Amino acid sequence: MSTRIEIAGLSKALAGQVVLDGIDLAVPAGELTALLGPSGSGKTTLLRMIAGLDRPDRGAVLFDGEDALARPAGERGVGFVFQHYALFRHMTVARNISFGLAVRKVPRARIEEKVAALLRLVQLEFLGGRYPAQLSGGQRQRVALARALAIEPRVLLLDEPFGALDAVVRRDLRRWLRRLHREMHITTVFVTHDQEEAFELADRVVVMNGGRIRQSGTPMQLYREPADSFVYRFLGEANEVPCRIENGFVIADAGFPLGRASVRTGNGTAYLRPHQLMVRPEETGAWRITEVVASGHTSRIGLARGGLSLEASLATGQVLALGLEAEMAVEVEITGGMVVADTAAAPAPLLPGSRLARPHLADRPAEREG
Amino acid sequence: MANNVLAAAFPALPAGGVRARRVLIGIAIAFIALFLVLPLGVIFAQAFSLGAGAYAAALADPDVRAALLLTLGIAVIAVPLNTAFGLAASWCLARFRFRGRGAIVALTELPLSVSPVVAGLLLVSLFGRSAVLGGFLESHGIRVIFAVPGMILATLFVTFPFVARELIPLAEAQGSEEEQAAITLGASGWQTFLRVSLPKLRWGLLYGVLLCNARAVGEFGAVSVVSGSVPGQTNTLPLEIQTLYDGYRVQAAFAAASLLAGLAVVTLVLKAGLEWRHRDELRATRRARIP
Repeated sequence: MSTRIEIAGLSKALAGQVVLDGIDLAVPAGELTALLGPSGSGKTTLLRMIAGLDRPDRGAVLFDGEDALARPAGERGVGFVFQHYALFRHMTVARNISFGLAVRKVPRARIEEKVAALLRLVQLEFLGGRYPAQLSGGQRQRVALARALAIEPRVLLLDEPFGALDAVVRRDLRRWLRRLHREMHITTVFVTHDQEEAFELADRVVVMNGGRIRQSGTPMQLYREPADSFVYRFLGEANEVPCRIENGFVIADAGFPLGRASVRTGNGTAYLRPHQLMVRPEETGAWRITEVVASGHTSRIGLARGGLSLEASLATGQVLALGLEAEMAVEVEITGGMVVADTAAAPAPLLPGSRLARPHLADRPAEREG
Repeated sequence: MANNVLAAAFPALPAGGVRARRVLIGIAIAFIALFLVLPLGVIFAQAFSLGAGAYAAALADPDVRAALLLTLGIAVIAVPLNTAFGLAASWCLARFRFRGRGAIVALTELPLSVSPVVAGLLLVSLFGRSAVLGGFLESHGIRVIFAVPGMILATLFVTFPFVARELIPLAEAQGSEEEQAAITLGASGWQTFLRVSLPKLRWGLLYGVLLCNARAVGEFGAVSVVSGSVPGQTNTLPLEIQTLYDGYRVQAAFAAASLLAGLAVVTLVLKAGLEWRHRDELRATRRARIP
C-alpha cells in the first residue's frame, strides 16, 4: 500500500524571503528519495509541508492524486522523524511508540502487541521501559522511527535522520534503514546535506538550492550528468580552474591545456574532481607537489603549476608506492571533469586531451624548480 | 547530599582538605539549624507553652477558624488563576516571537520587585470608595476594599509571577518539537496539551504552584492594606496572628502561627514524597539533554 506523492508549484515566502520557489516533484510509490542541499536551501521546509507542519503560500501536494493540503497533519498518515527525534521525554520508550495508537483509541491489547513488534523491528526489545534520556543517540533515533511507523503511515518523512550521530553509528543506521525500506516499501523522503548519505541510501536524489530544485535523478545520473556547476560542486569536492576554450581545446588561464570539450570557443571554468587527477613522479614533470596530507585510506596531494593550485586525492597505498612527497616534480594526467562556458549554462564533459598536451608540457621545463 | 557536591567540587583533597571539608559542612549545618530549625521549634514550643489544652482552645477560637478558612479560600481562588495564567504565558512566550515580548517577560516579574504594601495602596487608590472605579462598583453594591474581593485581588497581584517565572524558561528550553511530533501522530489539540505539553512541564508546574501557594497563604503586607482587619470577617491567618499578638495573646498567636508553619511542613513533605515516588523518571529526565 505505497503512496505516490506529487508536488506542483509549491511556493512559500517568509518575511519577504523566498523559502520555496515553485517546487515540482513526483515521488513514485515505494521509493526512497533524498532531498539534498545546503542549509537554507528549503529542503526541510518542503519536507514539513508534505507532513502538514508548514503551509505553502501556493501550490499543491497530492497523495495518490488526492489533495493532502486539505487535511491537517494528523490526518495525512505521515510518519515524521525529527532531526533531534522529539521523543516525549516524560514517557518510556514503549509509551512513546504507542502514542499514535493511544490517541486513536486503539484497544490496549492491540497496542501492546504492536509495540512489542516494533521494538523487535528496531532491535530494542529490552529497552521498552527506559526513558529517552537513558538511551544513546542511535537508540533514540530508532525509537523515533518506531514511533513514526506505529501509525502505519502512507509516507515516511525523515529530517536529517543521521545528523546528530557519530560516524560509525551513522553508517550502521544507514544500512539498517536501507534494509528496512527494502522490506517495508513505504514511500520515504528524507532530508540531508550530506551527499554521501543521499547517494548511499536513496533511489532518487533531489538537489535543492535557494528554494528551487536544481536537479533530480538517480545518483548515477546526477554524478554522470550534473545539470549545472552548483550540482557538480555539491556532489563532491572539485577544483575550479578558470580557463578558455579554443576550437574545442580547453586551456587553463595559467597557460597549459586541460583537455577537450564539445564547447567551441570562449571563456569558462573547468571543474576537476580530486580523484580525476592522476599523479606520477616524473623528473621532467611540469607540476610540483606542495604538500601530502594522509588522512586514512586516501591522501590529499597539493599540486602547483604556473600559479595554479589543485588538489588531487589518491589512495594512501598508492602515494606510498609511488613515493610521492612534497617538492617532488610530477606529471599530472586529467582523466575527466566538466567545463562550463560563460556563454552557456549547460556544462560539457571535459575529455582527456593528451594529444595536445604533450608538446606544451615539453615547452616548459623551467617551471620545475622551486 | 552536601557531601556529594563538595566531593564533586574538590575531587582529590589532601589530608588538610578533609578537615576543611568538615568545617564547611559544619558551618552549613549550624547555619541551617540556627535560622531554619530553631525558629520552627520556637513556634511550636511557644504554641504549647501553656499546655495542649490551651493550644486546642486557641485553635478552637472562632476567629482563628474563620481566618484559616478565609486564607485557604483565597488561596483556592488565587492559585488556580495564576496557574492558568502561568501556563498560558509560558506557552505563548515560548512559541512566538513578537514585539514587546521582552517587556511582557519583564512585567510578569514586576510584583516581585514592588513592595506588597505598595501593591495594596495601589488597589486602594483604584477601588477605594473615593476612586472612580471603586465608586462605580460600590454604587452597584460591590465592595472591594476592606472586603474579601480586595484581598483576593491583592493576593493575585503578589502571587502573579510564581508559576509563570518557573514555566517560561522551562517551556523555552523544551521548545515545541514534541508537540509537533504529537500532531503528526494524530493527536488533537487537547490531547497534545494534556498528554505532552502539560506532562513535560509538570515538575516546573508543581514547584511553581507550591511557591505560589506558600506566598498566597502567607501574604501579609498587601492583604493587610486592603483588608481592614475585622477579626472573624476579613482577617486571614497572618493578619489574625498579628491581631492576637498585638492583643498580648502571645500563646494564641503562636498557636495560629503553628498552623501556617504546619502548612509549610506538610507542603514540603508532599513535595519530597512526590519526588521520591517519581525518582526514576526525575533522574532520567533531569539529565534530559535531548538537544
